[in-house]
Amino acid sequence: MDRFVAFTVGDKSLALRIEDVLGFAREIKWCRLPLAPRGVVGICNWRGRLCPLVDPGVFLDTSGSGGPWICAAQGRAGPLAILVDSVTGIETAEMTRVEQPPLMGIYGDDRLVLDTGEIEKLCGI
Amino acid sequence: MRMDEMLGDYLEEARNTCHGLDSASYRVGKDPAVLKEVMRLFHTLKGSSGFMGFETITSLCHLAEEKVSEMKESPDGFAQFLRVLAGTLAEIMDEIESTGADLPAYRDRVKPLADALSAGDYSGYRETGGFEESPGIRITPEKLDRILTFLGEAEATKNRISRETARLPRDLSRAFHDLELSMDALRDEVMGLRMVDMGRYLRKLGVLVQEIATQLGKEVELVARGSEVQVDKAVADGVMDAMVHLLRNALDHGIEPPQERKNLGKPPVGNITIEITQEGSRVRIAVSDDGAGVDTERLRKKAREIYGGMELDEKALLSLLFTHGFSTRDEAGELSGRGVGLDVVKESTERMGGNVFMETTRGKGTRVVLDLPLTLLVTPLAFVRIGNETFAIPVSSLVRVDWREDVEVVAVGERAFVKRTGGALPLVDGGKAMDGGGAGDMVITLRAGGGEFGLLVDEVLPEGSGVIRPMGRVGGNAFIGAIIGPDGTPILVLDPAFLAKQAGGIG
Repeated sequence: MDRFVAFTVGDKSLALRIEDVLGFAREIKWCRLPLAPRGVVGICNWRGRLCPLVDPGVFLDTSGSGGPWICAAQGRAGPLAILVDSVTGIETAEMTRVEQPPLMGIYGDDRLVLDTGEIEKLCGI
Repeated sequence: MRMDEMLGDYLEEARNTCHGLDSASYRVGKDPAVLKEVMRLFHTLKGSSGFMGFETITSLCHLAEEKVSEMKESPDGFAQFLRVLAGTLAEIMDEIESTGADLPAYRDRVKPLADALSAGDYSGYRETGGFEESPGIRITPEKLDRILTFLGEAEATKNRISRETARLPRDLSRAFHDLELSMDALRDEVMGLRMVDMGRYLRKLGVLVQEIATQLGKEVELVARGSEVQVDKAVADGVMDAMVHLLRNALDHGIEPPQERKNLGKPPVGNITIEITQEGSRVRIAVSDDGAGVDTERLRKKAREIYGGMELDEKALLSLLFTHGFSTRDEAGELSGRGVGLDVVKESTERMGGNVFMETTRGKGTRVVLDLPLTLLVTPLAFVRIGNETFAIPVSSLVRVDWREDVEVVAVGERAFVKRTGGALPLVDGGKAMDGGGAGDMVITLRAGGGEFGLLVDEVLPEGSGVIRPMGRVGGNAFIGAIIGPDGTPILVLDPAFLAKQAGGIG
């Protein structure tokens, strides 16, 4: 069994492995990034470190997120800020692995587990 | 020679002497000629200190010269004593550089040294050896600056590589990421070495305030808040002159004599408050007094004499006080009133990327606020607005700024050029380049990639500075990095080389 932080983006139920999550914030300072790769909304200030602000909805066939939550997660290239609509909570479940970037697996009925490394790859980070 | 030049020469010589004493201390007990050398060093410093009127140092050097001349051999502990003495003198020199005065507090500071000299007993300074007593390593600000310069160069190289990590093999890319994290940590640590508490500076100013108050026959209580705020030593040192000017002004122009204050229904003891606060990457130093305030009517009259009938609002009027040579006083006071002082405050504040403003109420007091960056380890930046967004550009690339209506823009096919004497420069539409739109009311000329080109922007904002942080590959080639703005929002720093390419083949 693994522990996950569950949240929603658009009509999708998503999650991150708890060990990948750095924290949540409701208000964060950020700016738009012109000429940004697909999925990258801007650059934000996560506790003094600059990191890309991404909308995972772009890769998940959903309307995308307008926030208002930011979930900071540990990526391979550094912190990654993910736009999130609502935070569901912490869940413990058995994940079934899937090979479908940016997903690493699925648990429950429809909870999709994001792989931060794959998000980075898709965003060209 | 001017007084400040004489002081500069004195300090240079005095610091050399301190260095010489420190260096000689390591030969004490080994080289019989060293005592003569030490005696000569004290003699030299005594002479120049006497000339400058720095009595505390003169007396100490006189005593030391006399005692060393009597020595046949080095007493136990004398080598370490010399090192402590040299260090103490060097610290006092730093303070004299800031205050320009030989403060009474120095007498207390050198008293244990003078006592040891008088008694000929240096046993208290004896080195005990062993790791527990191991002294810390001293590093001069100049050496630290050199380290930071190299670190900056290494960071620039790292930033260039970070744009190409996609081309690196996976294991090298991972190793490079580790290197990035280490360099970030190293930069933060080294930058931290330059940060100092404002407390020690406030203590010095406290002594100075009481000295000046006594000189002027005034009574004042100094309240200092924010001594725990840490700022770059270069900022703290740089702001000291401004602070001294502001305090002299407050005491000379602001705080009334005790009897006058009583007549006005005020407590006989005046109040001066120094308040230091940190706001994001800025530090605010406010000096306020409960004195007479600025006579704005007199100021207005003086402004009319100089500028004719032009009517100025209060903000503009007060800003005149920061103009070189402007004074409302007909006669100069001993400490201030010569029209110099506030212009120096403004100049030194702006030189550090800060600004200054004043608020005053007649009869109630004056408040002067210095708004400064926390650190000078930053790149001077120009800020522009393109559409609704603010971008930064290194000032080193900025050549000139024009209103669009003042330059001739010609279109050749799909490209635009700004006409200049003897040719035309390619023009980049900032709105299009940044995918943001905008009216493009101003043209800034930038230099990059071995050529110049124009960039159409909506507004040129006041210059500033910031620590440029890398953004990795996500920034592509368009941005050098980003800074964290005063309110915490990231501001992207445009890469002039990228814009030069947009201009059409430059660079």
